[in-house]
Amino acid sequence: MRAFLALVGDSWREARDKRVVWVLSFIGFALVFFFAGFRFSEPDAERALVAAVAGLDEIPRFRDPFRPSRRAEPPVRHQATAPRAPQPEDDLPLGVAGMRVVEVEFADAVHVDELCRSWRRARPETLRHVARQDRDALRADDQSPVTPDQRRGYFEARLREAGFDPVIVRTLGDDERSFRLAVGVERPLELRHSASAHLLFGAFSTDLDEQSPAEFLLQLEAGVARAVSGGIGLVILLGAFASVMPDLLQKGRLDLVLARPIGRAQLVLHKFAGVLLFVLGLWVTLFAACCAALGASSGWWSFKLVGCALTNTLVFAAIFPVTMVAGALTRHTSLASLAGLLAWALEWIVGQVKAAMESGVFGDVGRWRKAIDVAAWILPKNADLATLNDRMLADEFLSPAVAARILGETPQVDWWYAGGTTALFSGTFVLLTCLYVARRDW
Amino acid sequence: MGAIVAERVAKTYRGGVQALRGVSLAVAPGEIFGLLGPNGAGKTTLVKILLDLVRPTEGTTSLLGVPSSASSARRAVGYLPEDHRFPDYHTATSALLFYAGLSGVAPSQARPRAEKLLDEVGLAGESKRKIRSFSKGMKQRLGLAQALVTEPQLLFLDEPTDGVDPVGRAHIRGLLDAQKRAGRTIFLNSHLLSEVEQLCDRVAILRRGELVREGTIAALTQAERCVTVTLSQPAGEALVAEMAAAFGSVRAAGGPTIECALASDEQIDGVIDFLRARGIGIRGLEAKRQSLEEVFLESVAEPAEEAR
Repeated sequence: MRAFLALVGDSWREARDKRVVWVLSFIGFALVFFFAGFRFSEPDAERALVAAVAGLDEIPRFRDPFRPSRRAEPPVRHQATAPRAPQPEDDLPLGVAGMRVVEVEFADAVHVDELCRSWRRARPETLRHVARQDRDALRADDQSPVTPDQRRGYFEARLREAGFDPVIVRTLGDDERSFRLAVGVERPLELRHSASAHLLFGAFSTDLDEQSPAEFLLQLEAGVARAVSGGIGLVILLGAFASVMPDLLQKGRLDLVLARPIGRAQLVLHKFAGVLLFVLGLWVTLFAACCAALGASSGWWSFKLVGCALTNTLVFAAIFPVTMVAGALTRHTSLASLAGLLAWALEWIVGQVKAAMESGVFGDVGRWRKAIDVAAWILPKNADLATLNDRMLADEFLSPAVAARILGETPQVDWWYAGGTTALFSGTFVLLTCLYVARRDW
Repeated sequence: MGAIVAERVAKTYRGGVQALRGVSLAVAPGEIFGLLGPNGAGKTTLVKILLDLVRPTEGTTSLLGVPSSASSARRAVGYLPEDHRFPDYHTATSALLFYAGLSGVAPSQARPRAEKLLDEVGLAGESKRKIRSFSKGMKQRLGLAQALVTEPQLLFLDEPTDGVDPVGRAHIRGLLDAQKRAGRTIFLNSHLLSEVEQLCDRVAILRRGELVREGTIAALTQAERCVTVTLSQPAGEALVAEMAAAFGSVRAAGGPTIECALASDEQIDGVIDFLRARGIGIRGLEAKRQSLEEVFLESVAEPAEEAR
């Protein structure tokens, strides 16, 4: 244990000497400053309801929670009353906190049916027909008549998407174009169109139209977790620690270490674990500081953000062994660093190509499909690991229904497969490094 | 049980270079053992095999009775390699604490030892300086301190005074003397024969991977059955000729001194009796010694056929 602690301390000194800590500290301070200057205005349910009803003529396409898009407003073809409290004659359940009622009248029922059909086309199952180019299924789907339940379902889905819960829809009259929409608010922070975000201590403000405050925060934190520690941070760390093996195996330096009562494989494993511990400590510190800054400024304590440190360390752990092997074989820091980055890039490229092949973009690719499948099996599944962050953060900020709606659109991950093959990849490279160091004369 | 034992150790590197050819030696506990040899003789390879840095092609080695291949064999070992290189981001103190930590020494124990050792090697004032700013001599002194920081029973030193000025060398010799008095076993590789002569109890000489001489300094430097006799009167030619006729090779060594190369130790008595019978007084008699350098050069000299 003392040998391990000595190597951890050595890694810390080495990293500090390389200024990597200072670069990451600078990034960290910038992030903390950003989070410390972040505020939300109080969510306004009536504002959210008015905006949601006004947007009933708009059919959102497939929604990627991390890349919201604005589209031109369609012409409004309905009239709506101002939100009001429910009345006894509304025939609505009692005891729903903050319930608001709006009555909507469309120009004609055909228009409502068009909205419903468009809505159906945006459903994930319909989009899957599009992806498979199954024209028969699409045509059948499109030509099926809209039922009264589907009309009510359309309004319910749209209002739930806007963050309201519960949602009750009543048809007014027999012409299927007037509706009474009653909504409750269980989670004000999940209401879209309800708040404004103030950045950098109020220097910049933006209305949250497409997102609820919770979604905005999820996007912000997931973006930080992915881009900073999964992207820029990973590049900086791979570059900084690529010298670990070349430096350790320097003639005259390794002798001093191996003359101690420490096994060669043990030395490599301790060095690997020491670097990982250092990286984990760095990310925990960074994310904990961001969490504290955000909590102090906005009152939102996002403790699961700290958990992203673990995921990002695992991502680093999956790639770093490649730099270790390359560093041991070439004794060259730049080549070791390059090997790690290439492995990372290769994993990303193979993942993208595989996804494109699965969606049928390349048509019939025959044996290439097998080659890509094998490559994807071998390479680490860092993209999958990164979705852990999204899930963790979504679980913290969003209700299960909203989280399921957003994350249901992200690819399903077989965690045993992803974790197992990634660990196998990483373990193989660590083992290769151990074997190389253990079998050579020094 | 020897503190350091090597039995029939051979090493052939990839490419067919034979660095060692069946070397066997044993170093007793508390002994200072010097390993001599010209460049490329296999000295460093032997030390590295003893420390398991290099794996032997044949033969076995052990330290304090534990096979060298076991990492526990190095628990009681301190090692100063020839061309050592410290991580230059360490300070003198942090480097010593790091190496002590690798040997399992707690920081609370290692810190006072490190301070004491830095004082002993003359680096007390440099303890907080980064190693990258050290001179070669300072790094060498620090190397010695790192070898001693675990208070090892066995000390392997490869050219310990390399790059150190004469004052520093004397300082290091004093330090090694202190280690000897403390009962530590020291295995010393050095080109500096005077240093080896002053420090070592026993030496071995390697030539082309083979052990060609081994023994105490006294035994190695004593010329075989050669005595120097100082007479009470100048050694005349007649006397020298008469003695040569009686004992073989005898020559005047200037003034009253003659040198006799004898066939056996018993002939010393005959020489004394011969001189006394002629009324010649004996003022001194001592076995003639070669310098270690002479022994070394004689041992590593290439045989004529090999040289050709």
